[in-house]
Amino acid sequence: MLTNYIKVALKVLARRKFFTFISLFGISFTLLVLMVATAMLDNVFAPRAPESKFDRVIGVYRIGFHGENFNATGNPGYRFIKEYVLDLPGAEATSVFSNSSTIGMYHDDRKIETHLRRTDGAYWRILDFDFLEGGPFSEDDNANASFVAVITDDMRTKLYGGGSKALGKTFEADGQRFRVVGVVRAVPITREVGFSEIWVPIRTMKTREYERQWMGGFGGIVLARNRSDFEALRREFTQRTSRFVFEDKTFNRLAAGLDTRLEFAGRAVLGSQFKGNRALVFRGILAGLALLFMLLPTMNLVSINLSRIMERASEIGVRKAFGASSRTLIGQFVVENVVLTVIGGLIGFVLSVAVLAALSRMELIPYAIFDVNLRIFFYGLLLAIFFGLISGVYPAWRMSRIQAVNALRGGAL
Amino acid sequence: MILHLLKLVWNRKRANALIVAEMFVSFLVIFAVLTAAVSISGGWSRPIGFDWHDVWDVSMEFDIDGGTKASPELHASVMRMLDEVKRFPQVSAAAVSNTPPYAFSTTEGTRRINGKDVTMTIDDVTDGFADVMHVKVVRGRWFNEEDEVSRDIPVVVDTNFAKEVYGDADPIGQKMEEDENLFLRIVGVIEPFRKDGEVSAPMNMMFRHVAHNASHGRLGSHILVRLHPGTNPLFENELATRLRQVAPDMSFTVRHMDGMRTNALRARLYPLIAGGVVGLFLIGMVALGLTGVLWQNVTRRTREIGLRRAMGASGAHVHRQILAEVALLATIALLIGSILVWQLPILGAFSIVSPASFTAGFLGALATIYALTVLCGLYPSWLASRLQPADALRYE
Repeated sequence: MLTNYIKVALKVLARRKFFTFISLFGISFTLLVLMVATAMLDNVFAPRAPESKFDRVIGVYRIGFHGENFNATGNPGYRFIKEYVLDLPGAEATSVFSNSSTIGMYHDDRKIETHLRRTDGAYWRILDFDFLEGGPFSEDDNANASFVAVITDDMRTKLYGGGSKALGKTFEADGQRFRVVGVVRAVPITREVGFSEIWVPIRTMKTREYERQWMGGFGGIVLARNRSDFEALRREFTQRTSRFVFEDKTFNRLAAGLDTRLEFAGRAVLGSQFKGNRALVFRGILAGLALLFMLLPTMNLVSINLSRIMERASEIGVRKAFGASSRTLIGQFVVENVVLTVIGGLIGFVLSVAVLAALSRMELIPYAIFDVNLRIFFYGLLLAIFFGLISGVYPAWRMSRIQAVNALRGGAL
Repeated sequence: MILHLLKLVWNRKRANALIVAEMFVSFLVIFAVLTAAVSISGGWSRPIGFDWHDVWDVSMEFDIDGGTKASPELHASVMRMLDEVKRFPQVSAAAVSNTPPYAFSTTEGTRRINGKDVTMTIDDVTDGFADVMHVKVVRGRWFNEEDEVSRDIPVVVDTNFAKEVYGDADPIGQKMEEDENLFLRIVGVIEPFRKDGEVSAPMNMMFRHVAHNASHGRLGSHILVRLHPGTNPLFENELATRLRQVAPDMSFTVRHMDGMRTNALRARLYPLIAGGVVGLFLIGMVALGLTGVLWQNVTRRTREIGLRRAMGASGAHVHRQILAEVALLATIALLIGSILVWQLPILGAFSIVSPASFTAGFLGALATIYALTVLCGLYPSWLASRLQPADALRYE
């Protein structure tokens, strides 16, 4: 039965080429845009190397101090992470790290603009970098403020030229001389925690001023043994932070939480005061935007579909006269439409591979390789089928209501 | 004639409702894209109020806990760096700034002044800022030595700010309450200053004075340096090395404002370009779809058209009728769209875009939709006008 529907669908498509072209153009373009957007979101939110364990990681990326007249929001300071996140009971590991900041290095009379992040030793256990040379620095290195560094392969080329080894060599950054102990594969800038080009121990900071700061410049993450531990870890964190005392009396309320990456994005969009399931609401917003974008293409496809059905009135009349029920006809038309959208979806998929490759090559976002993996293909297929269903149901319903007598006579429908 | 057309349209209301809805949504999309484009390109041609050529930004790495004052040691070491920078012959001026142009950081606040809520953008700067950024004073004066010992915090505002708050009255000498027993006093007015440069909307800009001797002002983490044109880029290394000697505890990096500008403009323009491309494709898709549907309509109305021809209507007449019908549909869609769009100013749209670009976007969208519908109707209605009455009637 299904194969029959598909055969009919393909025959119909071949019949009116102009209409088929319009439909396929619309569908493939719509899905192209959605798939490029999906690939970009996947690049930011999905657990990918070096953040491949991040389905088990929650962190504090942003905190807010609130008072009667003043509000201050920003990255947490080192002191906040140290007192409320590090060594959280029940966690497999916890880590503190600075934001990656832009620095200019002067190397052999050249200026190199790059990014530097300061981390503790645990950072390297929670994130899994692909080491090409050497290895990470340890917590001992951090405690002793050793001037050691991990750099990316891209940085190695910039510093020492292509093809050479970097281990044991030194470079100067911000007036300090570091020795390279490890080289990792470059990380896309979209990885909030993993991205940098140079990593050095926190304690190599020029002053210890940062140890007094509640707000600014740092982040902290917690690796749970299991996703189901999130609840207990958050309870523990809330209990710890409930004892927070403000030195500055203009503030009296703290907004901070252990977030997944998606919840953090939700926090940024919804504001830190928002109560409720941030990840869910954020997903809802994304889905809403996608639906809004699909509105126009859907209406377009529906009106084209309606036109095409009217053209097939006599065929429908014959089928009705021979006893096909409305439900069968609706089913047939919806299947036809899904076939059409899946073909359009495949074209869109091929196009999106090309567009993403071009976007990666243009290097709009440093080191971001927008690739298409199975997960994105799966999302794309799902989108195509969803699109096919919503744009096919109304025309199918209209078709099923056609009166057989009128249709056969060729009169007004 | 119009009543007759309305009746024809009403008779096929279900199919037409869909077309109207489609035109309506297209109108909204075009309106949004055009308004954004007009607003940005308009901003591009207006002066920005400063000159970013030959300016470097020594961006230091320190954070002052939400709101509290910088420690005296920190203040002293930043001022030491500032004085050292000015000593180089390559440097023509230097100043400390908190949120410099193109730096992706902004201090924004709303204050109640003279019973009116005013949204303003604020930067905290030392007196050299006007020489670094080539700011033009139109009234009063820029900061100078006597401000160092001022009891109030001296501020300079731009003409947008002055006009918004004081209208035609003289703003010089006006005071605003900053804190208990602490006042801001306006000492000068400068030309409109748009901190984010070419693509930013007009803003109410205010500069608060930061004293060298730490008596007042909020210390910023950027030292802006104006160089004499043609300075060797290698000077950057010399500058950085010297500053490290003067302030060994300070972490900083030197950035060039032309590079910062490119990044800032990109961040604002890329989303617009992406939106524009997507919008264009959507409209193209709708145009194709509309042509298809109209074409199909004409084929289905063969008998009606044949009858009209047989009763003596000319081909041109039929041509006009079909086009008028499409235009009528577009009018209905645009009427609904216009009513909706003109609710936006009530919701405060004019604080984001100027009334001029709003109107331009609106008119542009109207014209585009009419042009699009007529264009899409041309081929189908031409087909209809070619129908021979005999062929059409034989169809029965």
